[in-house]
Amino acid sequence: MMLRRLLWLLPILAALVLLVAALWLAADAESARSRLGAAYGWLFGAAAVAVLVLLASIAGELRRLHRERVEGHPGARLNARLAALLGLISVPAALLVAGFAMRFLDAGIDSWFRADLEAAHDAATALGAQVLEREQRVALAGVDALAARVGTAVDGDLQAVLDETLENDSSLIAYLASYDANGTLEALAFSTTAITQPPAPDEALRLQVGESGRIAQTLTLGDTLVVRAVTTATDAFGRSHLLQWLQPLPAELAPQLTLLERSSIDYAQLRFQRGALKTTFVLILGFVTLLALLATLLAALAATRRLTRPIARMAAAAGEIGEGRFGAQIEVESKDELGALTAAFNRMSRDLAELDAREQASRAETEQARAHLAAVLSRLSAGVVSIDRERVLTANAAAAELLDCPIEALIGQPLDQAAAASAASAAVLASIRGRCAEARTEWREELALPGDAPRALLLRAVQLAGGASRYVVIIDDMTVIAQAQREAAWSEVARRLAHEIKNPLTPIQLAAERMQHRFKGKLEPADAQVLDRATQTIVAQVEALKGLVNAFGDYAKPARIDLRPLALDALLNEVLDLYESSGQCRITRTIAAALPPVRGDRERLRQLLVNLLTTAVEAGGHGGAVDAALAQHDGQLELVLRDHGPGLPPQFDGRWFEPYMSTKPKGGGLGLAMVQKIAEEHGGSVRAEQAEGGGARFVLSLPLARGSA
Amino acid sequence: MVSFTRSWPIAFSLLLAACADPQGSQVRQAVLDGGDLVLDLDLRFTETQMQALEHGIPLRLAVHLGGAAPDVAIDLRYSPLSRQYELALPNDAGTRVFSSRARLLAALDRVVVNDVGAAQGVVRVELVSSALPAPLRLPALIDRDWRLATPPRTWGG
Repeated sequence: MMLRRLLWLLPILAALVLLVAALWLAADAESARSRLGAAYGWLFGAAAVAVLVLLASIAGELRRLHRERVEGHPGARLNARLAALLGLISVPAALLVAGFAMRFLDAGIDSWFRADLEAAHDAATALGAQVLEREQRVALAGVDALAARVGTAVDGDLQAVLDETLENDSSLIAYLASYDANGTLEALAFSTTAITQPPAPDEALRLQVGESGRIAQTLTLGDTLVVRAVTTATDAFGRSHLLQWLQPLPAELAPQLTLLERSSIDYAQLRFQRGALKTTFVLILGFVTLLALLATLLAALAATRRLTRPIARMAAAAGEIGEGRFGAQIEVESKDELGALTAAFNRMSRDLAELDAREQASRAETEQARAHLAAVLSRLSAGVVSIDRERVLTANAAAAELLDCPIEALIGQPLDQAAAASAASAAVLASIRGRCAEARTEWREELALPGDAPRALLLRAVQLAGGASRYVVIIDDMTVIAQAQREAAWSEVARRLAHEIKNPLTPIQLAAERMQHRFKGKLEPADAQVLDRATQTIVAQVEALKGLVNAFGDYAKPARIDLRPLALDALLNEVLDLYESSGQCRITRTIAAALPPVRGDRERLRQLLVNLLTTAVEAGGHGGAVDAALAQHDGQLELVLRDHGPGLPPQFDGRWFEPYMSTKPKGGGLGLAMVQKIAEEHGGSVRAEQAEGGGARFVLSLPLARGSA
Repeated sequence: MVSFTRSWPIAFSLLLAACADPQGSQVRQAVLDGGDLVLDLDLRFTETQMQALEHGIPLRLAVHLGGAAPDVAIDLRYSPLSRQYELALPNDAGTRVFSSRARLLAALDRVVVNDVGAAQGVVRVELVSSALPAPLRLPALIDRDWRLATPPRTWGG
C-alpha cells in the first residue's frame, strides 16, 4: 500500500521537476548573467528522467487499461473511451497553443533586431569608439610630448620633467609615471586622486610597446574609466625609459561611455544569441507543452479511472445480482450525481435482497406444500393425473399403478408417448383427451378395461383454474371399490348370520336331543333307529351350521390384533411340524437363515398359515407334497407355498379371495378370504398363481418389523 | 593481466581524450618552475567561439589541475566600444588589454599558474560552457563548435 502511494508520487514529482526546470530555464534565459550555468547538465538530466517517469507512468496506466479491457473488467471500456476522448480533446489543443506560442516567440525575438534599431546601435557604438579614440589620441599626444621633454632634459631628472608637465598645464588631470626597462618605477607625478592604484606596464605590455613604439588603451580602474598611453623615451644620457600616461575620462563622458559600452556589449551578445535564444525559448515551451500533455494524459487516465470506478463497481455488483447474489453494496465515494446513483443502486440491491429472501421463503413454503401434496397424493389409493393439451404434467404412484406403467412414463411426457406406455394408459388418455376436447369444466366417466384381469375405472376430471386446457383427473379402480363393497356386504351377512341363525341353533339342537331322549324307549326299534339317525343328523347339521356361523363371525369380527415383533420362520416351522406329524402331507422346507422378524399377531398369523396350508394340502390330496419357502425379498418376508395338485381353476381371479368362493364341494369358502383379511391386517398381501410344472402357488408377503428392513 | 586499479587512470585519460575538441587543442608542455606551473598551450578556438568573443560574449577557460591544486580560470573578453581584447590570467592582479585578437591568442600560448603546491599531477584546459550566457548553454552542451578541451597532460614526476 505504502509502495503504491510512493509510486503514485513519482509522476507528480516528475511533473514538478519538469515545471521547475521550465521555470528555471525561463528565469535564466532572460537573465544576462549565468546564475545556474553549472547546474545546466543536471537540470536537463532531471528533466529527461522526469519525462521518462511520466511516460512510464502513462504507459503503465495504458497497459493496465488494455489488460482490464481484454479481461473484460467492468467499466474498462468506458474508462478507455473517456481517456481517449479527453486525450483527443486536450492533446490537439495543447499542440495548437504551443504552435502559436512558438510562432509568437519567433516573431517576438526577431522584433528585437529591427534594422533601424541595429543601425542606431551601430551608430552609437561608432560614436562612442570615436570619443574613446579621440581621448586616446590626446593621451598619446601627451605621452609623446612627455617623451620629448625627457629626451631634451639636460639633467636627466625624470621627476622634474613629470612635475613640470603637470605644472605647465593646470587643466591637465593625469597620472604620469616613468619605469625602467625592467618595469621598475623611476618617477611619479599626478594631478588626480581618482586613480589610486595605477597598474605598472607588465611584460606583455612592454613587449607591445617595444614592437609598436607606443600604445593606447582604455582601462577600468575601480569605477573609473581611464585612457592609458604608454611609450618609450631615451634621455640625454642615452637611458631608455617607459613612460605611462593615465588620464581619466572627463566626468561628463565617463558615465555615458560606460553605459554605452555595457549596452553595446549586451546588444552584441543578444544579436549573437538570436538563434540560441529561440532554441532556448522553444525548449522551455517544449518543456511546458510536454509537461502539460503528459500531465493531462496522466490526469485524464487517473480522472477517468476515478470517475468510472463507481460505475465499474456498479457493473460488477449488477453482474452479481444477475447471477442471483443479491445485496451487494458499493461504497459511496462522492456527493455528486454518481454518489446519488450509487446510493440508489445500494437501495435497489437491498430491496432485491429482501424480495429474494421473501421469494425464497415463499418458494420454500410452496415446495413444502407441494411436497405435502405429493405425499398425500402418493398415499392416495386413487390415481391423480394433471394434463394439458400436449403432455402429462403430474401423476401420482397410484395413477401409474392403475395405468400399468412406470411413473416416469407419465410425468412430463407428451400425451402420445404416455399413451404408448401401456394399454391401460392408452385407453385412459384417449378418453381423457376426448373429454377435454369438449372443453367442459367438469366431467366423469366410467371406463372398462378388458384383458386377463378386466377392470372398471372411474375417471373424474376438473378444469384447473387459470388454464382452460388444463385438467386434473382422478382415477378410481371401481373393481377394488366393488370388492370392498362386497367385503362389507359379506361382513354384514356374517354379522346377521351370527345374530339371526346362530341363536336358534342351540334350541333346535336341544329340542332334537330332548325328542330323542323322550321317545327313544317308547318307539319300536325300527322307529327308534330312525329317530336316532334323524336326531344325530339334526345335531350334526346344527353343529355344522354353528361352525359355519362361527367362521363367518370370525370373518366379520373387527380385527383386534396385538402386533409384536414375531419370528415368522419359527411360527411357520411350528405349523409345518404340526401338519407333517399328522401325516396329511409331505413338506419340503426352504427357509433362509437369520431372517428378521415381522410385526404381527401370533394367533392371527397362525390362523393364516393354517388356512394356507389347509388349502394347499387339500389341493394336493391326502399325503401329497407341499413345498414351503420363506425368504427376505424387497424389505418383506415372502412365504411361497406350492402344492402339486391340479392347480388353480381357469376362472381364478381376485374374487376367489372373497368369502364363499371355493372349489371344494364342502368348503365354506372362508379360508382364502381369512388369509387375505389377516394379511391386509398386517399390511401385507397374498396372491395365487399357477406354478410351473403344475400345481398352485400361493405367495404371502409381510412387511418386516420397523428397524429390521 | 593489468589490474583495474592500475588501469583506471589510463582509461579515464582515454575517455577525456575522446572528449577533446576536434580542433586539436593541447597542452604542449607543462613544466614545474619552482613552485609555479608553466603551461605551453596550443588552444585552437573555433570560428563560432571567436564570433561569440567578437560579439562581446565572455569566454572562460578552466585549467584543471586534477586535484593537485584548485582549478584556475582564464577569462577572455572583447569590448566593442574600445575595440580591444582583455585577458584575465590566473594570478594576475589586473587584466591584460590587447588591441588585436592575434595578440590576445598569442598571450594564451604561455600561462603560468603560481604556487600549485604539488610536485606532479595532470593538467587539462577546457572551455567552460556553464559560464556562457544562458541561451548559449544548451547549444554549448551539444554543439561540437562549442567544444574546446585539451587532453590531459601530466607534469612533474
